[in-house]
Amino acid sequence: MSLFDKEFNEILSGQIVSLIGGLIAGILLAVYTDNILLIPAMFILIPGFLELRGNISGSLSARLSSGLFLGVIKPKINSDYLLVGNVIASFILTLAISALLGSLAFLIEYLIFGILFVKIIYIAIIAGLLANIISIPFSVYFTFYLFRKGHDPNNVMGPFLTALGDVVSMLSLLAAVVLV
Amino acid sequence: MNLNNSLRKLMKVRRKEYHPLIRQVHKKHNIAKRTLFYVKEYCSDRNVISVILTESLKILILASILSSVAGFGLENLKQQFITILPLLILFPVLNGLGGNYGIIFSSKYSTMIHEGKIKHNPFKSKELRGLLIDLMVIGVFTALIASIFSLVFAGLKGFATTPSITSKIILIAIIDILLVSLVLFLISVFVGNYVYKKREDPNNFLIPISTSAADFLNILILVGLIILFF
Repeated sequence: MSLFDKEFNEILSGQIVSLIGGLIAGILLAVYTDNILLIPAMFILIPGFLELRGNISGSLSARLSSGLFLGVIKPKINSDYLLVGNVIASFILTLAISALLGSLAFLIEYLIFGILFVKIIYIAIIAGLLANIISIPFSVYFTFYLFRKGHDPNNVMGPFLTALGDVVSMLSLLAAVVLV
Repeated sequence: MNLNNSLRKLMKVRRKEYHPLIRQVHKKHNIAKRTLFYVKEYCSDRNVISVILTESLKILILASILSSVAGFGLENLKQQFITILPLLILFPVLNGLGGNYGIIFSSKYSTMIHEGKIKHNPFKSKELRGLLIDLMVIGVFTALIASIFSLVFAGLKGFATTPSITSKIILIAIIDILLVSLVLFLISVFVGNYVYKKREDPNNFLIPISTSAADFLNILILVGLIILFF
């Protein structure tokens, strides 16, 4: 078995895409350090927030792929219950978990560091909402697009959604900080 | 059996139960096992929204708690992250790479178990060892690239590095990714075998466990290395 076989190249390609997304997110963090990181509890919020986007959009894309293969979802945007139900569930999940992440960050900051900063909950919810507006339509559109082109979206979407999720999450957090 | 019939039959299989039909459809129609897994898990006639919410919430809540605990470690080192800019740039990269490793190890190990490639001692499996070596080589390469880019971008933002800081940052990135890979490998093997012996589908448990563990571990190891080196 050669070290640089097909599997090696596939994993490497996925990791490079993820690396680019992570680097952009890291650069945004570095450029806007004052806006983002000087806010209390932000470091507690960021890891969960970064993870959330990939988890929810990744699952959405996988579920839509199943529906497409099964023939119960058509690869175009419409008001079909399965499609709408998946999108609504993903929105609800993101908002609920964003609120939970914000509340946990608030509690840890208050109980351990003694800093009362309620705004971190609002920041998490608004950032979750903003990130949803970008990442959910993107997931739906590209899952359908890849399927129409004859690919299995599950084989392609994972690293792209993680990379996109990192960048979108960071931009959303920044926008939420400005808004709050 | 045509594809549509196979998928409809798969929908009726009880949740958390691995079914040989997944393997058959995967081989015959070249559809990813992950897709088939979701067909089995989510495409029943039940209410879409409530099924997704009830089945996803538990693991997402657990992952959120783990992430917040790990974030607490980061909050303690806030000053180091803000003053040593390359570490700040590296953090999302290493987090993303570690999370992907969790998915890769667990999904590939689950597949190996189902295909009967794992015998009594998993560590003797040539394919499994090959996967670990692949991921370690890719890990060192990506960590090196990521640390170089982070140093360059930090330099553009005015961060003055020294040879000592440069080498420490490269070392932190490489050690972090190697340790995360190794621990995830062990988690996948031991948890995967345990779950399989309980006659459950490792796919249902391994991916959420290993991705959450990857994020948690990545931050803990990173925090430990920063304390050690700086």
